[in-house]
Amino acid sequence: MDGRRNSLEIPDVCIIGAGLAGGLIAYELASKGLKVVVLEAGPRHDLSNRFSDMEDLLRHDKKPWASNNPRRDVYTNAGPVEYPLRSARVKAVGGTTLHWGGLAPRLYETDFRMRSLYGLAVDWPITYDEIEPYYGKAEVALGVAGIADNPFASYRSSDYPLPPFPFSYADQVLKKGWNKTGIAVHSIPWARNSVPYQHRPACQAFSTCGSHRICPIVAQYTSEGHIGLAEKTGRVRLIPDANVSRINEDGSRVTSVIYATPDKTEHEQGARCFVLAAHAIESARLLLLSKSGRFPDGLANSSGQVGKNFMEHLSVWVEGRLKESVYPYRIGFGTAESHQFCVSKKRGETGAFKIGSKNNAGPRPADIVANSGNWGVELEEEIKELFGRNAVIVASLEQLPVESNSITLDPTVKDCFGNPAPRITYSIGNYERRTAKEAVATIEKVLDALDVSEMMHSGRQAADDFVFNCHHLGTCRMGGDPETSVVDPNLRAHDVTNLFIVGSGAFPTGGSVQPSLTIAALAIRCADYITKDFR
Amino acid sequence: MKKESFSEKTWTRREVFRLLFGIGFSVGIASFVLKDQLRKLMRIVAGRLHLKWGQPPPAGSLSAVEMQSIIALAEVLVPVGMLGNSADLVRDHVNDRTKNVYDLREYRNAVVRLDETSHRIFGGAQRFADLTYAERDKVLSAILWRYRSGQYLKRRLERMFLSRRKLWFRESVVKDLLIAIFQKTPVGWAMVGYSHYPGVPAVDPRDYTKLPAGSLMRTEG
Repeated sequence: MDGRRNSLEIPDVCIIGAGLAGGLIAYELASKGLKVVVLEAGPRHDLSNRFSDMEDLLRHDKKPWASNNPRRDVYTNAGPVEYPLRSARVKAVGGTTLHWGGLAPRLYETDFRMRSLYGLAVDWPITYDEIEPYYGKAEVALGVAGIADNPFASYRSSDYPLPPFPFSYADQVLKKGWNKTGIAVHSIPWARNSVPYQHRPACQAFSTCGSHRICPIVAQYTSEGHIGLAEKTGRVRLIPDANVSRINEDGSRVTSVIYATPDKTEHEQGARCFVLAAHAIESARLLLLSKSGRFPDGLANSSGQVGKNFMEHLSVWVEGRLKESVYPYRIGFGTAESHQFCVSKKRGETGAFKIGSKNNAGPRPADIVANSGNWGVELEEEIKELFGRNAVIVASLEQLPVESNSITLDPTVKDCFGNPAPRITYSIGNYERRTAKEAVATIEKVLDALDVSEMMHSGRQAADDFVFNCHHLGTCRMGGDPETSVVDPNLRAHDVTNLFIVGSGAFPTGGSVQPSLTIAALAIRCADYITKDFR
Repeated sequence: MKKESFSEKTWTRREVFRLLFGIGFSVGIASFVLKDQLRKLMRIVAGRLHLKWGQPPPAGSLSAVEMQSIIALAEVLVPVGMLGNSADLVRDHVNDRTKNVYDLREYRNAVVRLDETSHRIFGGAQRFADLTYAERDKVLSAILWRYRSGQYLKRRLERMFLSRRKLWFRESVVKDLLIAIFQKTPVGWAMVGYSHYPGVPAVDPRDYTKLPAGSLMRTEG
């Protein structure tokens, strides 16, 4: 069989990717009686090592999620903006949930109707009302802590499953600035245990989740939990270190995938149905790698849209020096945001943005020491003067989809398995730059109201440099028209009846808030659809 | 009127002095600016002439006596008495760091420099480790300049006027010890009144909503 080995008896579903979407779908399908194989390109980390991983990160700067195979994860850039993919993704069981921030807001009703309301981009093929029940299920699945105090929120039919995290001392001080400028702030929904939940402890404020992106007690959600639950059903087999390089089809249906293990042995895995959950960039890459006679431009790519419309959420921030200390670095995440500008604005000229303050603002004592030539009492005085009086407010901006922002296959650079690396072509448009200027001006008003001194901005000029949030969106977008989209409203590929493509790659537009809860909601909805399909 | 050529020129004393001063000043400035390049050139010349240059790499690890001096230095980098039990963590860090021969050499050179400076200032045969806190602070002040973060000019001037070996002492030993103390021990956070900080859980997980127990309550006047 040309060196490949058939891995297993044919399961009902083969899922490629064990991240947020893949883990949830595996659990949902297995709970409903389906047999599932999950192929994950990266390793499986031991949850019991999480504490020592944190210590290694804090003391020795040893990143636990760093790629164990840089040649496997090679990529190139071709656009005017260098996109930093390496730090953004994690190839391992758990995927990006191993190092995500944990924010779990819903998209807004207006985000689903950009074309109808503002004449921009496209509308989603589903409405907020259709996905709303699944947002509730996703909040229960992830364990989202929050409270319905957001005056701009779209309708919700269920309460948050966990109580909210109250405002930090810093946010209580900063609230004066928000109030003076008439900007309403509210709590933030977090996929993090405010009380014990799903056999995971409550957050104990280790404060390493924000800056270091690791929770030593797994109070923050990772999809490793759902993978474990799925395996306990006895109907799921997870195969780590399985790099899928090709998806085979027979003209109307996907028949199998080819994957390689680290020793470069190839294996073939068949199934009745396939779910591609490899995150936006890798999913697009796999489809492009899977060319055939029927799909010369890549599997499920008769629309030509695979890999196109790559979007990100960019951030800008402004920092100011307060007159009083706000005692930062005692909790690893923010506790207050305003989504006022996610909804209550016209988005024709400038886009939506959300703003929120950081609880880890300003230099830590170690940072002050690194730049100081003092020691002893003088150093102590310097630290006491410089520490704790900074306020940082960050804006996260929406980006419009443009075809030129895309993922293609690099013609010359290959990964360690001999497959073309993904090539990212990325740019930032005038819409985003205008949005950034407006966001920065809004933040400056808040900081002025707090009477700060020494304002600093991300980049040498205000709104000139951006921070990447590493939210990869839009590369296999959903739509009702097979000519302009890759998957239908149920995330089934238009061209191939037994292929589903889940994750943020399916987003037609991205809004301005984190995509994870929407990924989870769509994944659960897709699992429901697949199950009905099997029945 | 025909201009005098350089060789025909009659030089006054003032002109000679000005010329020599200008040459000396230019050479001095060039030496500072190009000292790394000059050092490289001298190494190449020494290599060609098979001359011995620099010390051979050291072997082993810091002795107990040497470590005592390093801990004594670490103690004076923070306010008196603040290092406390964290000295063990510093010791572990130094043992780990000095597995690298270059860091071992710098740490040994640091011990020698501290003892020599102690002898020079206080006389006698006392080692740096035997001095009081105030005396050790005086020794360190005799070696290094003090500047705050943000005093970029003073920092730049120190780099220009201090010898290379003193600068290595600062960067490879003093700065290394400070960063170890502040990153690997609770000392830095204790300075700002924190008993709970990144990596250490809060006794009360809602502590972050209130003023810390040891709060500084500092505001700008």
